[in-house]
Amino acid sequence: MRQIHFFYRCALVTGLLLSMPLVRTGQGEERKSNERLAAEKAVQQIEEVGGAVRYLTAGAEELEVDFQFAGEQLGDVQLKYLEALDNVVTLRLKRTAITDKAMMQVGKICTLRRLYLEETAISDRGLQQLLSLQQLEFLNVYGTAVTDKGIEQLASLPRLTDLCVGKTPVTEAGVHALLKAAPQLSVFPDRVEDRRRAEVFLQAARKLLTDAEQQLTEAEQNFKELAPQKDELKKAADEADKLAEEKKRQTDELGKQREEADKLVEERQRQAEEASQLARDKPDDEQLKLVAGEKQKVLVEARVRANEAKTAYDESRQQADAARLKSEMAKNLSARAANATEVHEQAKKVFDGARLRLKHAKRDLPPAQ
Amino acid sequence: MRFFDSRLKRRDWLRLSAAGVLSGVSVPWFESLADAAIKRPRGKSCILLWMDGGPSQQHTFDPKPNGEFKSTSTSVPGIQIVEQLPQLAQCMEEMVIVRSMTTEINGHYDAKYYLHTGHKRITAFEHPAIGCIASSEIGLPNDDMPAFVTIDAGYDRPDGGRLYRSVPAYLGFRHAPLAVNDPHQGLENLAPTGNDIDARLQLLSGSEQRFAQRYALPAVKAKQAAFNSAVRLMRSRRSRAFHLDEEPESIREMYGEHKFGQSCLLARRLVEAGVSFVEVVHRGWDDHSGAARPVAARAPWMDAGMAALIQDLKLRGRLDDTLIVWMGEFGRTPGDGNGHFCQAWSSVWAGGGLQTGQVIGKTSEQGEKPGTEIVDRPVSTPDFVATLCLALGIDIHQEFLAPGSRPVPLVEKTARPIEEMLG
Repeated sequence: MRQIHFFYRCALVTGLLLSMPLVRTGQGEERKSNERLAAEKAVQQIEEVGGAVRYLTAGAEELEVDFQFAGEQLGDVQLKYLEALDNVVTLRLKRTAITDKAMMQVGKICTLRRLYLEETAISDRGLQQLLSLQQLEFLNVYGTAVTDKGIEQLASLPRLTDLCVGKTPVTEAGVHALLKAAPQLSVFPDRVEDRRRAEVFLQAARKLLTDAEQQLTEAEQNFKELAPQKDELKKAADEADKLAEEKKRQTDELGKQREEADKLVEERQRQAEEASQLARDKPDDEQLKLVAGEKQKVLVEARVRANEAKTAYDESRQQADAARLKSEMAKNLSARAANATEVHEQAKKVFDGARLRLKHAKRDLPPAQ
Repeated sequence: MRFFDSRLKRRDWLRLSAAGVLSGVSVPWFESLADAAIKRPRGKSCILLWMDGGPSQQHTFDPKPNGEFKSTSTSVPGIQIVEQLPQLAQCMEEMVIVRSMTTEINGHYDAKYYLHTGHKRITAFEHPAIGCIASSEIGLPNDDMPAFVTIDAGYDRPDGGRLYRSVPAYLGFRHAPLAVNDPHQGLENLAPTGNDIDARLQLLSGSEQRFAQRYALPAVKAKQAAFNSAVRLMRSRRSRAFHLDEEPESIREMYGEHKFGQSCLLARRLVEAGVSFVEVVHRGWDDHSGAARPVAARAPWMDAGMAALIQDLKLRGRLDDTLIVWMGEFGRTPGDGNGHFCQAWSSVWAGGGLQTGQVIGKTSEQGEKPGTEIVDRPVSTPDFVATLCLALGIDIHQEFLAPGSRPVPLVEKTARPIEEMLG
């Protein structure tokens, strides 16, 4: 915290000290003031011919001078306004009426990092004047008369990383020669890269078309075979569903019967055990023995009935499960039939798209050399 | 920080530093130029490709191993997108995929509002849309061309919620967008009828003058300003940017026959003519009955349009100055893409001088449904808007006055811009 205070205090004091000379009048101050006036005037003049001056970022001193909408209003003469501005790092001269002569002036702006000359009357002669721009990183000569000979010289610009030569007479061989001399450079269009890209695209487009075709065939089959039977399939599915429901109901009923029979067996068993216990307690009582034998018989009967109920229930459940499975399949088929038209429509769209894609891919592929 | 707050107001601090006093660098004419018209930052522009309804991330830029779409490798090793976008896959070195958008709102309209303004919708007042902010911050004042244009690229299906319309709100009506309803038609009614336009305009201004003097209200001035800018546009040669038929046939074909591709082409022409922000809206990405088939059908023209835009700008040496953003208001549920999903989705950025050829953030690969969670670098709506502003050179530490003298920050103070992708 203390350090921050100290920093701000120092900064403020330094600031005040620096601003003092601005207040005092003196010879140096007069010179500065003249410079300021000149710069102000330059900005005004630039704006008058349809240009704009901006800071590169908020708070930075680096400037961008933008003439891209000045058009015919900007000729070679007006570029001298730039002399009064320091720290111009970007200059946009797109579609202005400048010629090679203007490049003398541009070549003096040694702070320049980005230069836009697209769609102007610049030629190789103009480029020669730019070799003094040691800071230049980006040069755009799209749509100019620049040739292989012109760009050849650019290899001596140490910081140049991006060069746009689209819509110019520059050839692939010319670019190749330049790249050999300046390997740090990226040139656009890069025809080797474009061809590689186009080949990858073509391959992908072919594969996607095959996939789309396969899906379309499937959709078409469904559409042809299932769609017309849509209503019958729906009916069949509904019937199968009803049957399955009925079977399920029956099974539930049998299940209940089975449970009851089981309960009865338990009851009878309890009674039989009680009777036999009684008979054992009084071994002399013949009556009790008889009753116990009777109860045992009844229990055996109940067991037989319970077994029958179980068999009936198991059978019914198997049938119900089979009916449910059949119903699910019927439902599935019916849904496929119902969606067949829409899926077919979508598959057609995907296929059409894939065909169009392949057409584009074939068109994009430049003829091999 | 008390010293900072009490002795030196923030505004004064900025003023001093802007004047070069505090930075210790003395540029003699700086002070006076700071007051001139050059306070604006570098002339960058933005093309927002808005996929209205919410496109599925797993069917586009965040495929998963067992997803419905297969993935393909791109021109950047290690980055994969779906195989249905082969042209964009070959532009990966110019793009950044942000796979960790997490934006809180799952309803169409409120989400559109939030992603367009950086603020949640409230009843008291409206917030300005990002296009209007760009118009006010980086558009050239009194330029022939409008600073903000929207292009309607048509629709696949009519649902997807109410369409969001960009509103300048408290930035002033001159920052409202100019709407192009059909890229093929360009700007309708641009050519004057009859050859007596000058005489008619003179008559109009004559009769309006007294009214304007007597009732010098903001509304009257705004109406006159709008009328003047329309006339300026009618007379400007740059308005020819609206005519797609001036473009060579081969270029038009490159962007694809679909309205979306042609809208991308129009957007490029407009940006070249000095428009700062173009929003291309394609409606109908609200795929509730499975995203796979509809997205597969849209993929060829979307792929062609966006990839052509990137390549064409690159060829013309304009890609560094033009930021392209592809997005919707949210993504879709992992897997089939049936539902809305704001928890973890993707936006795609290209050009604009960004650190391209990388992926920001990551969604989960494991679990029953991969992609339901963010495992790296979540990007909130304020983070997103702040990054967009910074990429265009807009100062994000600004405050505006909303109705009722209520100060509203340009972006929420919680915003954490994605530094990794800013150049």
